[in-house]
Amino acid sequence: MNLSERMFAASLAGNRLFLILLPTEACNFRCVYCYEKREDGRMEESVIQGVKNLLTRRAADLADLRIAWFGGEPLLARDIIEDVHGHVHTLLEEHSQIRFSADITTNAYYLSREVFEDLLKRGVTMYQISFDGPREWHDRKSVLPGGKGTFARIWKNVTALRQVPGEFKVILRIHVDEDNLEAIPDFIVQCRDAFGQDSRFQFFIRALSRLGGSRDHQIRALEGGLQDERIAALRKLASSMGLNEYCSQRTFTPCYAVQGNCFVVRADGRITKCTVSLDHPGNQMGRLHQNGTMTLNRERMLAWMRGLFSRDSEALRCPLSGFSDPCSG
Amino acid sequence: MIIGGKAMPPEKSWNTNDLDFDENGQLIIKNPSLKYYILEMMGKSDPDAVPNPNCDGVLIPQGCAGGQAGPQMPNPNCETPITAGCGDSGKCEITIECLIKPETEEENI
Repeated sequence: MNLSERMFAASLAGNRLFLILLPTEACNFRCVYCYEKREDGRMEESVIQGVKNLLTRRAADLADLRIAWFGGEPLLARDIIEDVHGHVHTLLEEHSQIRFSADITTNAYYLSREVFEDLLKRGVTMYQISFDGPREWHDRKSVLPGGKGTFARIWKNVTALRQVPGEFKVILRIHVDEDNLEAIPDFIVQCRDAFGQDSRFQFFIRALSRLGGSRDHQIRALEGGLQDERIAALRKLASSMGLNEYCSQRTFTPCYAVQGNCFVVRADGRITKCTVSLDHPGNQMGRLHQNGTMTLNRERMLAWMRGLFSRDSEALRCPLSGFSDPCSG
Repeated sequence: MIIGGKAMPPEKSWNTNDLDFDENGQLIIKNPSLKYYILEMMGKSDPDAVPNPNCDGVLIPQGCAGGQAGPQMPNPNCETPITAGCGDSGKCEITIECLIKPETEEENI
């Protein structure tokens, strides 16, 4: 794995800022593989103000600003998204040198066409939405708190987006495990029939992983030795059918968490690097304050960036892998 | 200092000790050569651009690639007027002293 020099430089550029914001850590789904605790709710008002003040403080020196909305389910706090984007657009009027982009990872349950068009208008141009295969499997894994399936509503919402004019990207992430493996080819056909001619919809087929959730033992992950081979075969099938493959999987991209200009801001104002191991002690970088300043654990931040200099592929792929906390004494 | 021929390669001696953060979470690059390298890489409009074969052998941070002078990022402390880079003449006229000066080491990129 090679880290491009461009990526190396971009990861250290002080005029770039990549914020992953969790406007709420609550979720309306109870996916069997979820690793989040869903204990914390909506982003506190002081944190929202902190985000806006941080952007104000940084705006004059920024060339690139990317905001990624994550959760929980971020559309449960859509008003916060609107609030922050309103502030961003005010800053963009004053600082025209800033290139701004925004994306969202959502379960799409509340992503009606009306909501989508509103978000698009505000600058959210990329959407990542997951399916656990066709309806019979998705409805067993991505469920509401009462156990009801969610496929029909999500599929209706996503297919409705085809009618929306304009530029945007929808990445449909298809999870594969031993349970749904045999059903994926038919689901690929279903996707081809629905989206195959529309290049704005891209497909990201990947193996379902155990990421530390309380029901990880229920996940029948693909067998390690055959995992890559099976996923590659499914991607090849999708490609042969004319589906647009999400291109990032073709080239090695380091984890976002190695970038020195990337921060996750949790709903309570805690700053982390990684959105998966949210509560891992080594993932606690500091706090965003209401005035927009940050208190950062410098040594820990730098430890997560070590792969940029060592070029160690594992430290670039997942900085938490082999992580030795410099602050643990 | 003039860097000749091609872009300066990364120095193996760079490490996380060359970095810091300010109160806004903004990266501070403490090592001038690393700072220059980042400026050079991020200043290119096309990261895959190749040097103009007509260039006289001096590659500057923002010029030469494709024979066009790129956008200039002059150091405000530079005392020498900065001219366009390797344009039609094939001559590159900017030296690195105009982009990185010792007294700017602690500035953010």
